[in-house]
Amino acid sequence: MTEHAVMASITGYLSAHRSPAPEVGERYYPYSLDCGQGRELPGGRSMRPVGTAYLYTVKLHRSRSFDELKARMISSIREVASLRRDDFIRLRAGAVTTNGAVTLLPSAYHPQLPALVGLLVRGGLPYVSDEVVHLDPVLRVASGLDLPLLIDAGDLGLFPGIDREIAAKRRAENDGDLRFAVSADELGGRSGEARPIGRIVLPRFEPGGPTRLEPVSRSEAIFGLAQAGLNLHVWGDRALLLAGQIAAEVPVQRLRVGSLPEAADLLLSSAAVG
Amino acid sequence: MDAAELRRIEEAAGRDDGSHEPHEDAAGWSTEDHYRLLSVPLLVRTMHPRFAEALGWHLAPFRREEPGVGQGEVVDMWEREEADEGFLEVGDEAPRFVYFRDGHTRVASLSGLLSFAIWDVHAMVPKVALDFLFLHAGAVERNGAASLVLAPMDAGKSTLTTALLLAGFAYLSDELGAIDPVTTRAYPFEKRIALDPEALAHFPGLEGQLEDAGPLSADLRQRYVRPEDVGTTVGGPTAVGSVVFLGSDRSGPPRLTEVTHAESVARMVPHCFNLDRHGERGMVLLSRLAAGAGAFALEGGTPGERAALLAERLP
Repeated sequence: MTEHAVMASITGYLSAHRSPAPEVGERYYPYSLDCGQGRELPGGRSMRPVGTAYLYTVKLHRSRSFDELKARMISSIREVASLRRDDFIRLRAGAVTTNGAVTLLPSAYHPQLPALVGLLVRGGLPYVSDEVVHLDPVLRVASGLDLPLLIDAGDLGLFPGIDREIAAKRRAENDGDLRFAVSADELGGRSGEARPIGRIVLPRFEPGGPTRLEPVSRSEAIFGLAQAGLNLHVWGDRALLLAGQIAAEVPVQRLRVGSLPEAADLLLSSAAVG
Repeated sequence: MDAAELRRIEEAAGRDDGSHEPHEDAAGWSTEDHYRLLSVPLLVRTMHPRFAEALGWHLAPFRREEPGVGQGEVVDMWEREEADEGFLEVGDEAPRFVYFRDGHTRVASLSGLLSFAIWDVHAMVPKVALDFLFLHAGAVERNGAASLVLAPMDAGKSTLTTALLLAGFAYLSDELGAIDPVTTRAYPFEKRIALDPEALAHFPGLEGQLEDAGPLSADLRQRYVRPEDVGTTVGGPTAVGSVVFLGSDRSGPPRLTEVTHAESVARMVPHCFNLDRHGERGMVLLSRLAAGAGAFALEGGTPGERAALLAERLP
């Protein structure tokens, strides 16, 4: 894959954010990618190039898999884009839109959360976010960053037709922290817009266990939202107050996720009913 | 990557904005004090105990024993060993002391740096804290209702705030109306009230109550008032009951005229420090604030007369 092809792929992921010119006072973060050079070896064999992704001059990741490099760049861009947004209450949560409102999936960090969102998007629900949701404290709408999902390598098998390359070295190391960027388009879905929260589902990942929706008390709902808070140190009790208000206004359930496809089907069918 | 790591990356990459790196003299801090100004953690590191003590008095309302959670602001202050032509020099005394925050350096005399530090630390808050909408306003509270006094710089906000405290209101701020987006309440930003020396003439006997003449502070031009100096306390987060636009006409007796909600929103906009960051939701928040508060224009009168009128008319 050429540098041009890799960058075209990344800029495609970022197309919603393209800016014609820098605004005065805006801070820009320079990302770059060196795709390296392959080598021809004796005997007709070839050595694939090693690519390196940078932020400023700091190396983010180095790999022979350009799919890995793309994911690492998107992951870093997402973190940079979200870190200084304390004008929002930030939650670790998946989000899709259903019937004009956001279904929020707040969760402590879990690698399977993006795949659950991906299955919902593939099922036809517009995509808001796979892991980071910005909750507007005034307008009370939830939004994502309009960046691709970062799906765990172990869950890619749930998405036939989505193939990503794992570098041989990484495969040998069996590194658990390996994710790949997948856009809503690639899943056959589309992006949703910022919307008020219409439903809260607290996923609990228990692989192999039963998959079912359960009612939760309002205090459990607030606790679940608080656990998902990424900047509670900034918003403090005001975030809990808002969580309490939202939990009082919309249905809240717990989703025990024994199987990702079953969990997605359960949510899709309940969304259709709703 | 967290905020601290991103900051390290940015610092490692350097910035092309003319900022300086901390001087190599800056090591072995004798004092490290932690503060929290609204949601902004602040660490002040100095090699000069008198400076730490003096700045500590001014920032005492915000003092914390522990650093707390989150990436905060850092102020470094040290004494440089010899002249460095690369620094901006200000002040009357030999400028040997260095103040460093957010990539920018200031060199001045010790008292010059204290004056700058007091201004810089407080002015930093509305630029850095994104979880509030900030109005340039004095703020007081009584009977569960906050009153905001909006005016441009040097229009008499701090003087009127002091007069209102003497009239029985509790203190929130003499500079910032910190509006919480979730509740639309005004939060206290209880900095020392900064008065020009001439303003003390409006408050007979107050000068004798002040305790602002500690180390270095005696050299500052402005005088600093604590709520307890005027017999009041700091209020808590409070719903805004009234907004007062302070006019420049000081002739005649004080006059309070009502302002419509729509006009009050328009008149609040120029007094917002960070409306650009909040955009549409900022306007919605101002509208909510205006809908729940009476709005008035205040002209004429001395600070005492104005405060007496407001004490009579406001909730």
